[in-house]
Amino acid sequence: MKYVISNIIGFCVIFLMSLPASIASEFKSEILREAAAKNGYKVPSKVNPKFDGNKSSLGKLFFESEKLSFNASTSCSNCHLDEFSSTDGLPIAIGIGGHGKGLERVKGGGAIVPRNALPLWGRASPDFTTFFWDGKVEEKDGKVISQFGSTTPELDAVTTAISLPFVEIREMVSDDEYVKSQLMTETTGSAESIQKELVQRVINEINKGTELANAFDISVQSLEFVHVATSIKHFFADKFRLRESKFSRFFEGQSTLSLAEIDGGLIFYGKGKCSNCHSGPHFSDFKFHTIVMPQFGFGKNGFGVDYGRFNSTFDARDQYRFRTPPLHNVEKTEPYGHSGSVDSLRQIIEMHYDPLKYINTEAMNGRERRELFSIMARVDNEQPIGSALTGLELTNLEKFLNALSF
Amino acid sequence: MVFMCVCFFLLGTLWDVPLRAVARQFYQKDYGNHVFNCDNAMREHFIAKSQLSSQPSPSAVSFLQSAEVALIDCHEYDKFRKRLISLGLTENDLAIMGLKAIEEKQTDLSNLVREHEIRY
Repeated sequence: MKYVISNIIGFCVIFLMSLPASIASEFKSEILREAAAKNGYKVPSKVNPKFDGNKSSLGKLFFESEKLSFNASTSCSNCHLDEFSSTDGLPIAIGIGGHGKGLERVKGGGAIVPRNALPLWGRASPDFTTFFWDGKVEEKDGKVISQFGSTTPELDAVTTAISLPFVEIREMVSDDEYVKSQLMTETTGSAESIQKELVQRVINEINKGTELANAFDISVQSLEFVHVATSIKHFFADKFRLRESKFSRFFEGQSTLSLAEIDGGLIFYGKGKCSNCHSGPHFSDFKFHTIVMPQFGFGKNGFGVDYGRFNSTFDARDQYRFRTPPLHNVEKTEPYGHSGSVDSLRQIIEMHYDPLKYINTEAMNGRERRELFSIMARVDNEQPIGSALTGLELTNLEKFLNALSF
Repeated sequence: MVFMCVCFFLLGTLWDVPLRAVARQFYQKDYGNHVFNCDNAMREHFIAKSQLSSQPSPSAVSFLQSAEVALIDCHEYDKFRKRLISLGLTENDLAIMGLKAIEEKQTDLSNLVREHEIRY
C-alpha cells in the first residue's frame, strides 16, 4: 500500500513539474504553426503533383540510361544518388568521364561542372518555378525563360530544366572534335540535333519507342525529346515527391515537436530571419540573394569567380546572386553553397550572419580579397541579416531543420 | 537580552541578503543575455515597422512578421524575470543586474575608444 501511495505521489509530482513546460510548448507551437502558415508552408499532400505510373517507369529508365549521353557514358543518376539524398555528396559535380560515387568519383577524373549538384525533392511540383543555382530556367508571368529561348513554347519550366543537362557540354556532352566543329554554335539548333539523336536511341538502342509512343498516345514517328523529358518529369513527381516529415505532421497537429525543435523553428521564422528568403512550400522564395561565402574550385566564370545569376541575365545587379536553395532534406545534402564550399549545416547557417568567422583574409592574396569585397558589396539593404545566434540557438535551429527531413 | 533581540531582529530581516547576493551572481550572465535579446528584438521590431511604413513591400511585410515572432525573446525575458522574483530577488536586485548587463557593453566601448581615439 505504501508503495502504491508513494508511486502515485511520485507521478503527481512529475506531472506537476512538467505542466509549465508543456503549457509553454503548446503556446510556442501555436506561434510556430501560425508563422509557418503565414510564410506559405504547405504539407506535402497539397504540393505534390499527380503522375502517370507508365510514364514514371519510362522516365526512371531514361534517368538511369547512359545511352542518353550524346557522346559519353554518363546518366542523370550518376550525379543524383539515393545515398546522398539525390545529390552527389561532392562540393562540385563531376560530369562526363566521371566514375563511381562520392569521393571515388573525384579520384576517377572526369569533367568538372563548377556548381554543387542540387537535390531533386519537389522539383516536379507546379509551384517550383525557378531551376538551377542561377535560375537559368524559370517560369515568369506564365512564360518559360531558358537558354532554349523561344524554341520551347510548349514546355513547362521543369521539363525544360530536365532537358538541359542532356545538351550541356561537360554535364552529359563531351566537347570532342565533332562537337567543337559542328555543334558548339550560338544557336539552339545544336541542342535540337542532339535531342533528335537521343530520341533515335530511345527507339533503336533502348528499345522503348513503342512504349513511349503508347504512353503519350502518339505514333513512334511522332516522338520528340519532349516526350523523354516529360517521362522523366513523371518520374520526378513519383520518386522525388515530398514526403511527410516530422514538421509536416506537427503542422497538421498530428504530432508534436520537441521544445528544442520548436525553439529552433521560432528562430527560423523569427530572429534568424531565415524565412524571409526560405519561405513557401519548398522553403525558397525562388529569388536571388548574395550570401558571403568562399568560392570552391575554378568557378563558373573562371579563376575562382562565379557571378551567379549574372550569367543568366547579364544584369550587373545580379552579380554574385544565387537562387535561395529549398530546404527539404537539407541535413542530408551537404556540402552546401553554390560551389559546395561549406561542409556542415551549422557552418552554412552561421555564414548567413557571420561569414567572416570562416574566411581567413590573411591567407588570401589581394585579388582574392578584392573578389570577397565585391561579393560583400552586393549584399543590399533589402537583404535580411539574422541575429547572431548562441551555440544553443544554433543547435536548436539545426534540430528544426532536421525535422524537415523525410 | 537587548543584544539577543537585536540579533533575532537582524536575522529575521536580513537573512535573505547573502542568498540574494549569491543568486544575483549566479544568474547575472543569463539575465544579461535575456536583457540583450529582448532589447535586440524590440529594436529589430521597431526597424521592421518603420521600414514597412516608409517602404511597403512584400519583403517588408516578411521582415515585420519575423520581427514579431522574434519578440518571443521578450516573453522569455519576462518569464526569466518572474522566475528570479519568485526565487526571492527584488525589483532593485533585477535593476542592478540589468545595469550590470549594460555595463558589460560599456567596458567594450571604453576599450574601443582607448584603441582608436586620437591622442596628442
